[in-house]
Amino acid sequence: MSFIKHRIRVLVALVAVCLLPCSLFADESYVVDRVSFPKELPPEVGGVEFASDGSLYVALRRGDILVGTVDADPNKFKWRRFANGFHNACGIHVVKPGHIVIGQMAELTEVIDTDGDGVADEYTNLSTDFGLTGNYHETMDIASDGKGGYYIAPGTASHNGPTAQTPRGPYSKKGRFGRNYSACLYRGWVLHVDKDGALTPVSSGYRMQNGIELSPKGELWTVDNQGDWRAVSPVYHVTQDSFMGHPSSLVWDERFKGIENPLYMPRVLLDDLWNKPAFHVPHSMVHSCAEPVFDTTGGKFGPYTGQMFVPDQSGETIIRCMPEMVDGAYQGAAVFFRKGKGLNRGNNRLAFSPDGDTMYVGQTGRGWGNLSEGLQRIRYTGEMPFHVQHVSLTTSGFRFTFTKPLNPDSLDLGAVTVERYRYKYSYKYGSKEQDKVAYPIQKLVIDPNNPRVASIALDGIVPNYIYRLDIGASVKSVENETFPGNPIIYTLNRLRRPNADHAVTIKAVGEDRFRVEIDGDLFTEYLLSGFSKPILYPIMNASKVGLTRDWPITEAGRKGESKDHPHHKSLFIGHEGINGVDSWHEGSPKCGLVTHGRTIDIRSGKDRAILQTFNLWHDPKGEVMATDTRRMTFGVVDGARYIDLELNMHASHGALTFEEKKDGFVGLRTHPHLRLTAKPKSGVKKVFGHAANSVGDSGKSVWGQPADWVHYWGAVEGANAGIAILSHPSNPRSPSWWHARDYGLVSANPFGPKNAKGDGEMVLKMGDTLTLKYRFIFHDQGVDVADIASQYEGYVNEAIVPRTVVQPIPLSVKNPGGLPAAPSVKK
Amino acid sequence: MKCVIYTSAALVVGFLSSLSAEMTPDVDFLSYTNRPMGTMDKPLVLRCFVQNLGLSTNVTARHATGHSSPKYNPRDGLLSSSGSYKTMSAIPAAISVNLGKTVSYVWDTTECRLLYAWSGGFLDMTPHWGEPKRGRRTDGGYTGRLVGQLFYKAVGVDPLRINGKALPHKIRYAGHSRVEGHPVFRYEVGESVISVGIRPGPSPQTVELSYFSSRTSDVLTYIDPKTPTEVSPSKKGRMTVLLRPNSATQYTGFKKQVIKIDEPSAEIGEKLYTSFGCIACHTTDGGKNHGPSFKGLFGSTRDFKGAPRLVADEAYIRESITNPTAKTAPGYPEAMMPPYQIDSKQVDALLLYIQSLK
Repeated sequence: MSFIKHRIRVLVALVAVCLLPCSLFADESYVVDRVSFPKELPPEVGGVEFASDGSLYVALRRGDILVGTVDADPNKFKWRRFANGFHNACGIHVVKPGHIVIGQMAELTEVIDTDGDGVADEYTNLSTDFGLTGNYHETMDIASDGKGGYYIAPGTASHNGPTAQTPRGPYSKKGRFGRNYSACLYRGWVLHVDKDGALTPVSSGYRMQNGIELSPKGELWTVDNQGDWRAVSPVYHVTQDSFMGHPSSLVWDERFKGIENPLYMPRVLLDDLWNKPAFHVPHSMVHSCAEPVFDTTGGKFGPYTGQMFVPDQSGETIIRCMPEMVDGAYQGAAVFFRKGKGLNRGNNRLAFSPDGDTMYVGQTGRGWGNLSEGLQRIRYTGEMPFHVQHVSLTTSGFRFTFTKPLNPDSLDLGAVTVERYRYKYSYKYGSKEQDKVAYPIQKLVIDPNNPRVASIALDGIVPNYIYRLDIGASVKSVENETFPGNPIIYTLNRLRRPNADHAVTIKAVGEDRFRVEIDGDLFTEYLLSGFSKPILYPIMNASKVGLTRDWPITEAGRKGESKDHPHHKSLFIGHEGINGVDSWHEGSPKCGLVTHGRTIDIRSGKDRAILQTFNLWHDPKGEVMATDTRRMTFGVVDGARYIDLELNMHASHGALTFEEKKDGFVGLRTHPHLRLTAKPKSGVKKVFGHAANSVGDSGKSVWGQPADWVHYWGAVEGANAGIAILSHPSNPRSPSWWHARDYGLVSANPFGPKNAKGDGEMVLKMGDTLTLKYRFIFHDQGVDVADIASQYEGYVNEAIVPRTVVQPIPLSVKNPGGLPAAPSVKK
Repeated sequence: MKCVIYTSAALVVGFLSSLSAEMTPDVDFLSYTNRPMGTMDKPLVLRCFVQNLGLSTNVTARHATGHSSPKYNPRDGLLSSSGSYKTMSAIPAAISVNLGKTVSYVWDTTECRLLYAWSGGFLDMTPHWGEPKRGRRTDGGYTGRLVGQLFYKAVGVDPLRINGKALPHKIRYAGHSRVEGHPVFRYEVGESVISVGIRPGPSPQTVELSYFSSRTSDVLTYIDPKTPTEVSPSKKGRMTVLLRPNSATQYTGFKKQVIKIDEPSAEIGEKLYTSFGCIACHTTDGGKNHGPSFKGLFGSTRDFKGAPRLVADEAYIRESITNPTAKTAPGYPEAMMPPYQIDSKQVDALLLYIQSLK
């Protein structure tokens, strides 16, 4: 035994002895110590969880599962081996003592000691219904669903390691491209395996979801790591069919089957599909988020019950996240919980002790960095720390709830510095902070009823930004402690909405429609199936009169409805010619279908509801040739009901040629009483309808005239009513060309015939997106009241929510880096 | 006589230090030893990527086929127009078992069959586990490397026949039991659940497979024209098969590439860059990774956390190799890189290589 080795051991002994009586690294509220393992055992902790009998199960990445008898003295744990033979065991759930489930590279495995001798003897495969390339990076955490099933998180492979000639498939060449990739089935997904072993995909778009956890409310959370498509490390609330932004995994989604290369997908499409993280944790706080844990200790671990702790697998850090529901989604503030002060690196897995006062931190770094293996404990001493207990977004700023009352004399000017920034969404690795804006220094205003609560009000809060809040040294607790918790990082995806006059709700009715109600009355339904494309029908004004044609959605139709143009179904989107395919008409061999692919966002609100969907445009053979994402906002403006449509047409499957055709693109067919000309054959003998546009044309002559809006109005079923379509000036080829007919077809078409003042053909390059925005107004007013010109002015002047900054892939470069050539237009 | 057993590490523990926690003395665990071994009494079950050893495609019929793919360029985030990733020889989801020096075998959960068996050693885990106590990525492949003499390698479609029929493509690994520590594997074939246990045969370099079906009416047969076998007649869904050697190849585990240096050069430095594993964290094309890129490093002005800015000269680069925690570049974690105790010629070669990356 060498002299040096001996000296090191003495040193270790000295440090450890110091640790024992009163931790060397104690702060007043939390103390850290390190649990010992047998000397020659590499404590590479892939998983840690307590059993109901208080014993501690530890999964080690070389494959051993240990059971420990917990002791107050970190050096007196008694360890025995419960099971072995696992490949990089990175997920553990203890069903009961002697019965556990392990997530390993290739398998979800149930492990039981059936004969009660303390050693497992049954190893049952619960699921292998996912692939494995043979790449080192494909670890898998698991979370119990509480019902005998599991959520599993098979990670992606890394370009730093190879894949096997003989992977466990299926294998996809398309999934193999890029930095972190999904070459084998369901890599980069979150999946559910029920108690009978049936596997259901839950969520895609992950890079390295090294950490999955069910909250006490039964909601699923995951984390991810900075990298390609990841500006920083995100924390996600996972919902069914969500997509988290990393495109490789989409090769295992049928809806993206025809896409040549997921890395080429239109940036706007990816951004629209991406369910934004609840927390963007800056790189200065966390390098690689690992498994979160929720504080279920009821105060035994300090004042943070219900909040989430997230460890840093490559730093000496554990952060604390404070999720709050804002406008239908989680977001919130993140702060350091522990940085250094005795906490080592490699913080991978967390578990609370049964008595709740101690957090166990499993650590490993092998394969990713310097060795940082082990098991540490953080114990709450009961001494209340001075920190923010919660940070909440208000309609005007932020409200801080501190763990202790503030000293009211300490709050002079200079109390809180605030800045906002955002990140680039890029195929490159990570992102710097972009578009940084510093706010004037904010004064903290104490709540007169609660000295622990103080607020700031900001001039101009912008969504889709991250807010950094630093509480100044002048702010003190009543015990004159300085605030130790900076920075506070609030991920502000959505604004807190103020109270409003109308309750607008949207909800799914069965599997084939969404119903929108305003103050409890039907406004419209979005029908997903049954027709050649999704449509909105009926559409009622506030006087409960349906303003679009009933036929042929109802077989009988209304009295007086002409049974022409059966493809004019209420409100619809389509075009006579895209790459030779007709999605306007129905039934001919050239006709294709548009189908609902996914519901991206559904939100009820105080004065508006939102539905955002993803749609697939099929050619006559059923192959997908294009996609769209459409966001529909439903509400009330100036006494009229409206639907805002933001339609993003994506050249996702190849270039798109929107042909020069009169029949397109976003249209509706009115109630027969809004016809401009009679049709005695159909029973319309008398005409009630009038039309006008923004440039002074009226009646039939609005057809083919470029204009910002077109308005049809008249007495519908005996009462004032009308429909207007407003075309946003940001639309290409604005002002719009109108296919607005006397019989009640009203349609905005950017590709109208040139010989009739239209704009003609448009070609959209592969990877590009065409954005079109329209507002539809459905009113019950006389023409003197329904002032469409001022409605238009209001529409144009509405604040636009800033979009994500996306980095385009340089397709202009000739054959960029050997990528397969972008597919040409499909004939 | 007992072979080298991995409990030896546990025995040492008590002696070493009172600081180490206790391990029940007769309980085993994997240690820092990269060549762990079991015994007949205490088989060692290990799961890791293992070598394919050139198994024929009808042996790996239930696996997919991997393909080479254009290289990714971390600098611009695009695929490189030069070079492609080659696939490696590996079986991803197999179970390896060691019964001491007599027999080791690999049974695969995808094909549900014995892939190969060898004697004289087990696996060298260095590519996966890294240098003992350092854990550095030594080899991107992460496959355990065979140690010993291969005597059986699966050939052709699975020799098992159930009621005269070859196994269908779709079969499912169901799990395994440990019987006296030995795995007995189970897999589902249609209505039957087949179990198979694997033990050393009566003579050296043989293994015996004990099959039984959950349906006692199943007649099991075994047809392997390429391997000398002795098959017991099937009875009530049971059959034993003795496999004699059909192969003889020596494997010596993982050999780290030894790079001899007479005169340090950038070319040698480039080889060291790969063999020491620098490549895992430092790119040579300006791309971002766990550590700063080497491209354009030499002679550039560098910023540090808590240390003054300086020009990256020879002294700085030597210090960064031998004492990497001395200075940390902003944006990178501290103490990420372990100190490299390497000789001065190796440092010289690395230095020349880094200098060459303009």
